[in-house]
Amino acid sequence: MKSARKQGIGRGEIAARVLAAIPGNYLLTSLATACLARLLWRGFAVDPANASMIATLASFVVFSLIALAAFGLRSAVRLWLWLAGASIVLGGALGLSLAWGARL
Amino acid sequence: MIHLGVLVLALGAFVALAFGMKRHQRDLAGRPLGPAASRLATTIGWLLLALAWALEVAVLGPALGTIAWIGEISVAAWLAVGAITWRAARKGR
Amino acid sequence: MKDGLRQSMALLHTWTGLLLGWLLFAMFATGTAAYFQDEITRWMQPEVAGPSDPVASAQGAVRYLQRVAPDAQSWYITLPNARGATTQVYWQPAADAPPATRETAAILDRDGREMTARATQGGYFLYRFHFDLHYMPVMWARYLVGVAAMFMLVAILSGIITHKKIFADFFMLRFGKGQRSWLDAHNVTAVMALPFHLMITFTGLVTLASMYMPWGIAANYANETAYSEALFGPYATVARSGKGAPLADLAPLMRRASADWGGKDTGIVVFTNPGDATATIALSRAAGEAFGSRGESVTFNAATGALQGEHRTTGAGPVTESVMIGLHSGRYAKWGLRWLYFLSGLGGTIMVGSGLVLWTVKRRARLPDPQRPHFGFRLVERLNITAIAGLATGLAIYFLANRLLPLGMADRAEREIDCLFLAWAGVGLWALVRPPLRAWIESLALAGLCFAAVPLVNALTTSRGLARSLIAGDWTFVSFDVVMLALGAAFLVTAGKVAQRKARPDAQMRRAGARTVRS
Repeated sequence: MKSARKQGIGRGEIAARVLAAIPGNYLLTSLATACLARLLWRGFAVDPANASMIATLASFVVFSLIALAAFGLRSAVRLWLWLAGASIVLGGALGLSLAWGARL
Repeated sequence: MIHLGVLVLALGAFVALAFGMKRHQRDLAGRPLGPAASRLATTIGWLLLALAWALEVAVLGPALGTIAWIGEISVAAWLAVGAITWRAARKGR
Repeated sequence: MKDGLRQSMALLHTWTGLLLGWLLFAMFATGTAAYFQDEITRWMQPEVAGPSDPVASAQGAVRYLQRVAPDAQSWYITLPNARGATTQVYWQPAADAPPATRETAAILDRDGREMTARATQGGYFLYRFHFDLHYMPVMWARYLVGVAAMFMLVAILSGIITHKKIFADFFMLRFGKGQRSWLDAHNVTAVMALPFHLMITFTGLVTLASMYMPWGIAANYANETAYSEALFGPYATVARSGKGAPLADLAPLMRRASADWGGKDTGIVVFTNPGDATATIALSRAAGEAFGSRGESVTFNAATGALQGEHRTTGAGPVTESVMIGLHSGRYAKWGLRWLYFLSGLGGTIMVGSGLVLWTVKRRARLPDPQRPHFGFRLVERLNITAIAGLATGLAIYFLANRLLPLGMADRAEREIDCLFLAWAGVGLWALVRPPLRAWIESLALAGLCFAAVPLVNALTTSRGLARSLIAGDWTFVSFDVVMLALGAAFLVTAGKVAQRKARPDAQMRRAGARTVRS
């Protein structure tokens, strides 16, 4: 299984991808789930319990896809840029939404 | 009893699909089949699978029928693997 | 590019499969057994016979609770389904009662008397183990199991992406070709029941979703109680009025509820403030009567029997969750589909086990010095033996202990479980001190012998041995004994095959392994 790609995988890159695939992934997925729950409720008038449940169910799909991407994407640097960028955007959106309308 | 029938249908479907694959034709048919025959076998296989699904749904309804179908084709696939492996072993490959 | 993706997915698949593979093997094995937990419990309590009667059981349970806990805050009664025979009751003592010195739970028979059959946790233990594990706080176990389940999901998805010829190799199962055979076994068991494996892993995560991903709830609700009440109805916490009142008979209420639900049976009965004027009875539809696990419920005034309210799961999200949990637990399945669940679970167990073995077979061919493998390899080898042969032996010993431990023993149910883990640990220790190949042969043979011994010991110690059960048409007992024999045979045959392989000279094996790597 020796190829140029495999020989290029050093411990640093593995660590970066694992950190992206697990804690980074969990942070991003949590933000995305919370945002989706609020979007469905506040934006689309879905019943809040229904909205929370739908978002929670979807979270497992999101988490597994990001985990696959963490190892499938060719560049670990680009991976982290995407993770960080998406987290900032979603975090900001969530903060705004919570400031705008309180929770039940 | 209908479920046994569906199982037999699914088994036939997988055997047909195997006939359509070059790798198994020598064991099953004794010689490689031409592209037209292979395509025919594959088509028959998929049709039989679809027929099996339709039967299960007719008997159990769409949800339960689909689930039962998935279970049955899994069993049938296993039986097909057994049959093909046994035949290949008999031919000493 | 495709090649690079396939390789990175292969790497991901190997590690997500390996790191928690031993835990996943145990989860799959006990979860598969749990599909027949009621039948296993029946086998483990041979003194209990005859079909269940939910109405009589409910009435019997009420009589018991009126005697034992008349002023409790609530009574929680789980009725037997068509497959089980026992009623489980749990009660919440009165708020001002002295700290409980005795149990607040009991297992009753059809007449509302505490079970006099041998104390055992039966198949229920195997069901709880597969997500609560044992000897550790339940919360830790559930987090660990959840991590394992997510690893499994990623392993399945990466496995699909990396499987080079998923259609071309669909029927491929070659024996006696070393690494290639293990790969075939792993592929076939994985692909044949792929819809099942995907479903069971995803829905497994869903069963404890709010624990693993609480942020969707936290985004909309300041506290989780508000969310639970929105989903399942308000928690009635009316205080006792002090005025006594009789309890209405359950039978007509159960009939009424069943009519409401289109003929489905009641599964759970909850009394709040029993015996008081404020008492209510809530009946919930049995989980096994429909796809959705979260059953509809109706609430009655306990004194007059008047209908007070009802609740059903509504909304796409909650209904989906309910159905997903229902699909995972398979309680809706009648015996035919239940066997399919069991066989699929068995396939999944073999998929995990063959994957673990495949890792060592692949690596052994590439060891620089096969006599002195590196630490990681030795560790995986011993863990594989422990996880696979050790758990198998443990399960067989659990059933043997059920027949052999003295009936009057203190904490008998816990001791049965301890026997399982002692045997498992014993095999683990054996695997540490013996050369790995010998350890495999010996522990697989031990597992095989123990399983085969179960029907024998059953026949010798009870009046419900295989022959008698066949004559009596007692298919539950027959099936159990036959499955034990089948497992025994399977393990003994496997031990024999490994012993045959051991007889081949090492160099020949290495050459065979090296040749098949490239195919």
